[in-house]
Amino acid sequence: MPESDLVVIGGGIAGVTAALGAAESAYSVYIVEKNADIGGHGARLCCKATDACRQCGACVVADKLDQVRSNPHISILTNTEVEQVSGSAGDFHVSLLCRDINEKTFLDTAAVIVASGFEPFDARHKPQLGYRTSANVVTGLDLEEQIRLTGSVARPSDGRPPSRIAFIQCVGSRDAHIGNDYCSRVCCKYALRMAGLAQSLLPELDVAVFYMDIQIAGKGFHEFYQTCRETMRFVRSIPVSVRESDSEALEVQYEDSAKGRLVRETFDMVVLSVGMVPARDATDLATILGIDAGSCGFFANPEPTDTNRTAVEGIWLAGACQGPKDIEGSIAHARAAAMDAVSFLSSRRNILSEPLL
Amino acid sequence: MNHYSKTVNSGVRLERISVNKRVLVVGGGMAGLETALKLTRLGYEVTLLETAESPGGSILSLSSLYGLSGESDLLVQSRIEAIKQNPAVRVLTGARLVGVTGTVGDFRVEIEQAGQTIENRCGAIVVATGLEFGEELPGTGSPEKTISHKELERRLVDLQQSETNRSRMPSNICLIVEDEGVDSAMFSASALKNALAIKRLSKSSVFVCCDNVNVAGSGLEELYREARSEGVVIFRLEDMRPQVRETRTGLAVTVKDSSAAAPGGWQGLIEIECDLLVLPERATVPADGVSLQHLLNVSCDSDGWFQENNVWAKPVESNRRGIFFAGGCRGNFDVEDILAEAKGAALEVHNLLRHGKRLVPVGRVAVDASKCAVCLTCLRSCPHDAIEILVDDKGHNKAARIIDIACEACGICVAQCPANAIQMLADQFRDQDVAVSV
Repeated sequence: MPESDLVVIGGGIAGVTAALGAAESAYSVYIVEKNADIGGHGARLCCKATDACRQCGACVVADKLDQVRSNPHISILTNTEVEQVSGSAGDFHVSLLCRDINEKTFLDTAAVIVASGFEPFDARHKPQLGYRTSANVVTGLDLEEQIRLTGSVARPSDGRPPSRIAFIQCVGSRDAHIGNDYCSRVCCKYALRMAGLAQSLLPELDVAVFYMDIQIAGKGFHEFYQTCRETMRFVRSIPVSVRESDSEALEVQYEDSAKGRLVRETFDMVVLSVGMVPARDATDLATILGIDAGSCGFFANPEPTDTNRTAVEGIWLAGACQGPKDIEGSIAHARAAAMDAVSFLSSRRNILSEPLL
Repeated sequence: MNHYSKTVNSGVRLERISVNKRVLVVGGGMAGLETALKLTRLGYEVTLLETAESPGGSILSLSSLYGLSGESDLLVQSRIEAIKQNPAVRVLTGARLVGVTGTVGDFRVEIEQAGQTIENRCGAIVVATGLEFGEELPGTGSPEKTISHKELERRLVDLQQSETNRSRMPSNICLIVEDEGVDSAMFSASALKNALAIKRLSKSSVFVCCDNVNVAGSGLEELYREARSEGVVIFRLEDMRPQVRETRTGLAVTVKDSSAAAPGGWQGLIEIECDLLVLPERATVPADGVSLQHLLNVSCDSDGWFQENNVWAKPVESNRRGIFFAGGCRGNFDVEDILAEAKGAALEVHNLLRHGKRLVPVGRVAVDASKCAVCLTCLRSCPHDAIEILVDDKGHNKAARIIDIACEACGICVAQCPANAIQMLADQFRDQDVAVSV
């Protein structure tokens, strides 16, 4: 049975960052990834630089993946899911199901970091917004992928550049009707950065941003938001419906607060800024690990100021599985989890190989 | 120092260099306390410097923390207690850093405490000097009716402590938050928490005027909903700044909330009558933080905050190896983030010093002393403080020298040297190699 110091569940940006943090201290790490490759949602994002870097962090993901793949202390198991965890801190036994060969494998490990991530909100749960029923309604993640793969912004229906585009914020976030009573923290940033990129690719592009509150925390973002206000139209209202008319034009209906009534406006492309929801298998994973699944599906921490801690000694949380986080936040959170794990591991065994500057 | 070396490639050797495992943490607030505690768990001895007479920092001036049910007092006090009982931490209060020489692995620091100068050596330094709230307010209205958020926090502490203070709370209170800089998100969150606190402790009417409500943090959406359901009135301003004028009885604040507009041309202009106006001050790096930036020769950003080396790859590292940041000094205000960052800083220190020695590539960059005119261009242009000037017996400057343990081999000095006296010796970067590849 292979032995390791640390098993990291999930190979997204948080998982790889946590793995690297422990590997720098020369501990042996296994990353268990259920998908065919590591990278998670972060690897699907596009660079949003225009004439200046917009600090979206998309490039950082690729860098970290390279580092993880070439790190001698880190082994990666893809297409593999955690089936069972027994034992206790310092002596966990993890049974894994490798779907490639449909075979069970086992790992012994001293510590576990859970970095199982999130899922983007499924916009079909808001049928009035026309996702999957109107070709030119896309999600923020769809647009990320489109830009990443083609380098351009085009309407899915005919491949032509849009001339009027609407970004609708808070799709699946801050929405008590669907039980998502939280802000996803990433959508304002990615939407404005992508809108800015779209405008730099298509200088004539007319952009409207439908929003409740723009979340401007973070260095430099406030200044960027001010420049956005000069070239984009900000409408403080969340549309009630998006309907496709004959010519593939999209009719967006919203309350114009200045006029005090519902108005209709036509766009030729609509981007839904979908938020983050807990991963589908989060509850199962919580049961397997014996940790608290949390009230809204993001893993809960028993001690309010220590967001890495779980109810089980030797198991820590990293990244968006604990609550919505952007790339920067996930990295910081994962480094903190790595510190907890390293601190625990070093109390058991110090590694003698010397660090190279 | 060196009894082990091995040639990696042309002229570059690996040398084993000892590093001091004592760590200096500057600042005894939440971030500094947490960093020190985590470092001791990793087996380090820590000197913790605090300019005030006792540790705790600016969090102690807050009446409560948003998003957290625990009292801010308790959060800090438990850590102060843990630090006091920890033999691996030496706490120096009323102390400030006045001199730093040396380099990563071997910093020599001078600490001033009660008129005495203490000399100390350490392998790494963590800056956790926090942030400070200015008292200065934009000049609107009468000073006794206009206070800062910081002053409001003080009054709320009084309010929590005694019943009689509650009746003294003005009956109409208006809090204004404006979108500016990194601190607007913090003031939005603290305005909501304080508005809710006032509502719960008194019968006052509370109005919050802001451009955007910040809900991008743990528990903030709940806080927003709770504040609204408890009767806090929130106006969202757009194109017009709030106008304040004095009235016979108090202040009148005119705001424009377009969601209050109605058909028939009413623009949504609303006049709020209040007897206390709370305006946002600016959050800044405190004075001792600014002097520390000079002392340590570390970078700051355009707003004066300590500048991390790279926001993703090296979020708690400075431009100088061995000097790290944690917490409010970078403009952070979220307690969860600050605590995570403190752990991150402890991990970086550990990965740097854990072995007590490091293998350092020596000779990647070399100065040809015969060409060096000691013009100091390299010394000034090096972002990592990795250049020193060699002095001969008579005290004359001889030549520049690369401090290998601090050098990042970025090549800036190579490009800047007017005499072409500095070369990168790693294979593909020598002049002749570059000439070939061009």
